[in-house]
Amino acid sequence: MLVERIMTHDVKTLTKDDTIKDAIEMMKKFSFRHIPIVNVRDEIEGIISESDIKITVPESITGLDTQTFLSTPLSEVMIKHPTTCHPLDFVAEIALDFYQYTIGAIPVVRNKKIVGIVTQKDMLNTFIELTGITEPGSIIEVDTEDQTGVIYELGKVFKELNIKIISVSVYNNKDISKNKIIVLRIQAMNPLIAINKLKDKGFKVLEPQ
Amino acid sequence: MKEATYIYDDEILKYRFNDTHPFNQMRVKMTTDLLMSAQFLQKQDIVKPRIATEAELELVHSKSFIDAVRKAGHGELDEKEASKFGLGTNDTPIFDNMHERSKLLVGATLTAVEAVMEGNSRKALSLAGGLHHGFSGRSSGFCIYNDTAVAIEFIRKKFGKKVLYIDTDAHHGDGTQYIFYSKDDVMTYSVHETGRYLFPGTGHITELGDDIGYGYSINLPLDAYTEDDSFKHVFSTSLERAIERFKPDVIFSQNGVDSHFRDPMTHLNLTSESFEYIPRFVDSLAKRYTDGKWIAVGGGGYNLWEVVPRMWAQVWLAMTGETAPRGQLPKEFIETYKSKCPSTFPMLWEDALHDYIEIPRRTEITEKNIATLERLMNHL
Repeated sequence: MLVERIMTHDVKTLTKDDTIKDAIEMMKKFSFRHIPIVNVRDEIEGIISESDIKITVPESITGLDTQTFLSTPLSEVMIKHPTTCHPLDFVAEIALDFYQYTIGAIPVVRNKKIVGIVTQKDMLNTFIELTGITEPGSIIEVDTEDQTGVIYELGKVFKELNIKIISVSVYNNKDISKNKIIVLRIQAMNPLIAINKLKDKGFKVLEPQ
Repeated sequence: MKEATYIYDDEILKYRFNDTHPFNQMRVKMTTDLLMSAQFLQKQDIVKPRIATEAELELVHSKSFIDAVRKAGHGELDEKEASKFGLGTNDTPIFDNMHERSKLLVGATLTAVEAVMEGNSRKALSLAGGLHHGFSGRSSGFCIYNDTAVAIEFIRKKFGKKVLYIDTDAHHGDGTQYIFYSKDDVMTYSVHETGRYLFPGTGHITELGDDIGYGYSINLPLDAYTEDDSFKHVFSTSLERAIERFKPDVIFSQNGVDSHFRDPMTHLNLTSESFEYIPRFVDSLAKRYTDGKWIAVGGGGYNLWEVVPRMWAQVWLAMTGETAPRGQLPKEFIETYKSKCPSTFPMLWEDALHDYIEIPRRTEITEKNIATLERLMNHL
C-alpha cells in the first residue's frame, strides 16, 4: 500500500515567522497536533507539534510573560529537518519511521514541495482497514503448524462452501513456536458450517468454539 | 381503536433459501399456533399482510439492486453479477421468486406500520420482518430487502414522525443503522454481542452517526456470555436515557431472539427471563413516551424448537398487557409439534434451566458491560 493512498492531501501549513499563538489557534480550529512549517515555495523548513509547544511553556514560567511566549516565532521552537516521505513510499516503510523515531506525523514531499501529511491516526486507520472490519463478516481463528500449503487448504474449505474470505492475518503463536495463528474474516453470518468443516479437516479452531 | 394487531399469513413461509438454511420462517407459524392454542391470540386480531410496492422498496433500496434480486429469482442473473449484490452466497443463496417473496415480508411490516400510523391500532406486530442486515444496494446476513429500514423511511416520509428504532437481536443492526446514519429524526439503538468474533463485526460504541445524525446512532456491544441480570441492567439504563433525550413519536422494535443461551449462532447467554422483560420494558416506554404507539417485528432466532416460539410469544403478550405465563404449554401445541422436534421439546412457558451452565467469568463480564455502559452514557 502506498503512502498517497492514506495521506491527507490538503495540508494546513505555517511559516517560520508565524507565532506560537498562530500554531495554537490553528491546532484548536482543525483539531490536529502537527503543523509543517514551509517557505514561500512550499518547501519544508520544519514541523511543530503540540508537544513541542507544551515543552516550551516552562520557559514562560521562568521569565517570559504570556504575551512574549505566545508571540515567539515558530523558527525558535520548530523541529528542523523533520523526517519526510514520498507519496510512492510503502506504508510499511514509514511505519518503521514512526516506530523508530517515536514521531506523530510525517510530511509527504514530492519535488521538494509538501503534498500531504500522514499521522499516527492514519496509520491506525490503515490497520483497521487491513483487519477487514469495514465489511460485514464473522471471525474465525485457526491455530496451525507453520507449513507450506496451509492457506491453500483453508482456502479450499471456503471455496467449497462458497464463502468469501474478506481478510486474512497471520501472527506467531507465542506458546508454540512452530505454530501460527491465522485470523480469517469471512463474509458469513453463519460461521458454524465453516467451523465444523475446518474441524473435520483437522484444523484446530481457537475461536469461536 | 384496537389495542394490538397481529400480521400473519401462511404465504410468508415461502421466504426460504433452502432446506438446510438456518433462517426458517416456520418459527412464525409456530409462534402463531402457540398463541392461538393458548387463546392469547384470536382470529379477529390477525390481519393479512399486503405486498410492498416497488416504489416502497425504492425508499431505501437502489433500483439496480431490486432489478438484480428480481432477475436472480427468475434465474436470469449470472454468478458474477449476483455476487456484486451479495446474492448467491452461503448466507443469502438465490431461490425461486425471491423478489416476490421478499416483497411480501416488507409488505407485512408496512401493514403493521399502517395499522398504527393510521390510528386503527395502538400497537402492531409482524414477526416475519426484522431483516436488519439488508443494505441499500446489497443483501447480507440472511437479509435481502431491509423491511425495518423501508418501514422507518415510510413513517418519516408519509407521516413525518420521529422514530426510535430498538434492536435487541444478538447481531448488530448494521443495515438499518447505516441507512439512517446521517438523519436526526430517526434514532437507531442496537444492543448486541460484541463484534470481536460475531457477524457483522460493527456496532462499536464509537459509531454515533454522521453530520446532523451525530448522536442518533446508539450502540451497546456486550461481552460474549452476558447473562440476564447484566443484560437487563445495561439495556434498560441506556435505553431509558436514549428515549428521554430523543422523545420519539413512535417506537419500532426489532426482536431477534438469537441472544438466547440455546441459540446455536451466537454466544450471549440470556434465558426466557430477559425475553419476558424486553418487550414489557419497551411497552412501558411506549406508554410513557409515545402514547402507546409501538410497532414490532421479529429478526434472528435459529433454534426453532427450543427457543423462538415461546420467546416471540412474549412480544404479543406484552402488547396485550398479559403477564408472562407460567407452567405447561397448551396441549394442542405440544401435540402438533413435539413429535417433530429433533431435540428435547420444551414443555413449559418459562425455560427449564436444569442444564444451564453458570458462566465462571460472570463478575468480569458484568464489570466489562458496566464500563461499556458508562462510556455510552457519556454520549447520551
